[in-house]
Amino acid sequence: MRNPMKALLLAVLLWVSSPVSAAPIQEYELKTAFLYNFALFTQWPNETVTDGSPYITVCTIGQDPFGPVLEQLQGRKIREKRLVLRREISLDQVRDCHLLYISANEPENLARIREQLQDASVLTVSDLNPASTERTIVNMSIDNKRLVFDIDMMAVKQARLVMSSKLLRLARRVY
Amino acid sequence: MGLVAFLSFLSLIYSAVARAESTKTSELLEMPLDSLLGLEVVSASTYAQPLQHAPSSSVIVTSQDIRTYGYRTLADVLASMPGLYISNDRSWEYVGVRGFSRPGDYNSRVLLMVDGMRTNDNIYNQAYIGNDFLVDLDLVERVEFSPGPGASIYGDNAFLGVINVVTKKARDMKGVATTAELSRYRGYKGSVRYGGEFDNGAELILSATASDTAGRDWRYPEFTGKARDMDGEDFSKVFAKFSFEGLTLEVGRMRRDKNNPTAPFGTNFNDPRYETRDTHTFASATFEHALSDTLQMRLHANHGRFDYEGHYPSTLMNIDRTHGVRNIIEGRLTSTAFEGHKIVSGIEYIRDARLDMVNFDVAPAQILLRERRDADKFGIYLQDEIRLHQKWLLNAGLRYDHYDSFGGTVNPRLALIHQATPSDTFKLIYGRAFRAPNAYEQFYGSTTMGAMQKGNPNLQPEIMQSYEATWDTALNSQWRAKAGVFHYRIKDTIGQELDPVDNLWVFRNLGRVRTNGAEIGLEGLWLNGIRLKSSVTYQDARETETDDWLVNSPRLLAKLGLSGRIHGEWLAGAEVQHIGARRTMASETGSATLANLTVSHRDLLPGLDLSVGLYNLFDKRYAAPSDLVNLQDALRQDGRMFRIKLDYRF
Repeated sequence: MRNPMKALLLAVLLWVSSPVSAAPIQEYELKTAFLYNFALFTQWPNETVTDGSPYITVCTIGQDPFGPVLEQLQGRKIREKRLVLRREISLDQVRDCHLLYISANEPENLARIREQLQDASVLTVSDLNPASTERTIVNMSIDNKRLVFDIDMMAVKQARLVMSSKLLRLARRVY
Repeated sequence: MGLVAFLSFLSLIYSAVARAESTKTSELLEMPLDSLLGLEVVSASTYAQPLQHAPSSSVIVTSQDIRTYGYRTLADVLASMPGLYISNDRSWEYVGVRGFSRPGDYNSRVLLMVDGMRTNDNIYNQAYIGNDFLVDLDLVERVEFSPGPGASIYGDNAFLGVINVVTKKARDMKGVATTAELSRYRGYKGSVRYGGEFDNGAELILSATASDTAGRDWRYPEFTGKARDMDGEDFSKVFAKFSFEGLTLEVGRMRRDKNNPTAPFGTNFNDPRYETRDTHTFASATFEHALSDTLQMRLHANHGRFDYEGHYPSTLMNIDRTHGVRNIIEGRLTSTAFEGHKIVSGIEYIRDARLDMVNFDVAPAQILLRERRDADKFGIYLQDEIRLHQKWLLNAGLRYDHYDSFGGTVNPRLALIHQATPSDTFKLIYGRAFRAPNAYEQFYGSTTMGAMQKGNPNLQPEIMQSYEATWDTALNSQWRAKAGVFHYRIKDTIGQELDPVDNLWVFRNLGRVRTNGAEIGLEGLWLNGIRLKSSVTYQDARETETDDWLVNSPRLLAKLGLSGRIHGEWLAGAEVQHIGARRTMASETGSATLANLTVSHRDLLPGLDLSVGLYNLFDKRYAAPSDLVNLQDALRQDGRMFRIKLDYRF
């Protein structure tokens, strides 16, 4: 290697081409994909206020930790229906949602949201501490660096939602 | 050559494999759920976490806030932040930090970065925050402001604070979008932008903006009559960003023409020939790469051109022109190889290849000044974030800078961070910073007949030392409160004085400044979806020798922002900003309380967003202290303005 320029070029090439250490996935990127799948594998009953409309409404309430990644859901289609995103909605709008993500709220807030929802067919999703006594229909948590989810089957029934068996099978726990 | 070709081929295959491993949100959405369950995640991607460990009390405004509150310029964004205030002299806008914003000084005591690239020009070292900011605000993902000295990492200009503007990723703005805006005083703006993500993971953003505003007709008691069509502004900007794996390339250009109705520098009042033009062009390349699991590398290079031309009509037509060329290369390593340490080290070399200044009269033609200079600067820094204990963090940093003109300067920062409980963070921060005399202060001037100003190559840097204590607490998961106190001293402030020997104005290291201040803030979200951000700042900035209150230094600043849905999908953002009374050169300006209101709707029709903003809603008359170059002691600021903005995504 007499030519120092050539040596430099070689060094740069080798270094640029060395494999990127497998890019880790950001928590909320993955949670966005999970929300999408929860909507994909859930069927809402016909009597839902918003049904008949060509939309599936995905809402968040409380401090929304997703950042710009959640915007990826906007406009995507599930069963010929377009996903519509409504972020950080108010308490009186929760019944207009199909899927409601509740950010790690204070328990008393969760109680008020539940009261507001009563028997509405809204799929509630959260990432509360699994040790918490409070529950939403689907609860996501991180277990051994993997994102997992639990399903409260009683609540699914109460909300008159139909969940695909695939979703139930992939849940860490169904209770 | 055969070997090189072979290796290039290998490297191509190699990078194709590497590419396949990286995953994007859009890809995640296409993956079956069972595969998602097997993926490894890094948790806590929210901004709150790193901010807690940052060696300053940083503030962030996101693209969501920009939309909700209808911010038009970076100056609007900054005006909403705790403790910051803006003054407009109808040519440029200036940001005051911690009670410091001397009229007549350029924005050289804050460092303004775009995606980590230094954007202050190399002649006045000014940060451009109005419509002359390099990038269209619609391309901005977030604006981070870190108050206090940041010289231990960033060197020059990171004096009172550091602003970092982070641009959007193509994946967050897919497809083509256009914007049309209408604003008061015949203001029009249009832009088109494109964001594309390719199969191989490469991302591309292209954007172009053009705007023209006739501007308001102003009256000043110091002049008779009205300055008609003297506040006009037109600008255009283009920006492109390409990123692929760790490599990001950006290029951009901004050109802005501005008239000025205030007739500074003894120019004719109401003379439409008064105009300044700024043209900034840049190209940058950044390469980020993980050398190992614990060693991260960042290489950055940029080329910037800063052109300014001013037309100053008096009995003669005077033309002032500067041309700056700056090249920067920078390398940074971040290591987490040692347990309990996060070490950042880097080196920055700045080559000011051109520092040209010309001033001449037209008819009769006379060159008053012609300076061609160049300069070299470099800095080297080291910072270690040491985990002393589970709840204690020590952040210690040190940077050495070397300048041709005045030699070396060493600037440390020490921050002790105590995570008392999961929701309470206490910080104690000491920092030292410098502001190097800029090329204008050093070299602008001449001793020939007719000159008014001479240069001073012997200027020393301004030095500041700052002490700060903050407490940040999460009241619950929705509400945060903040409180802090600060004290800083500046010595060798650079100011202009008249040399009695030759009767020429000259920049000298003059006085000292000392400031005490306190700030509280509260932000959060009610369950009805209404979001609040608020802050109150009190500061007392004085000249040390005379104990005089500093000019253009409000003692009280208060900010309140409320946002939320008002009806269906209609979103409202309302702001109230209070600026306390300010001392001027001759007297005082009154305090002012301003209100802004923006109502917006996303997807009013599919793909169409509407935003209507009213600024200074109650048309409050208020003024900002002005410089000696103006006859006016204070300059009235904008009255009620409106803006209607339509965005359409194809």
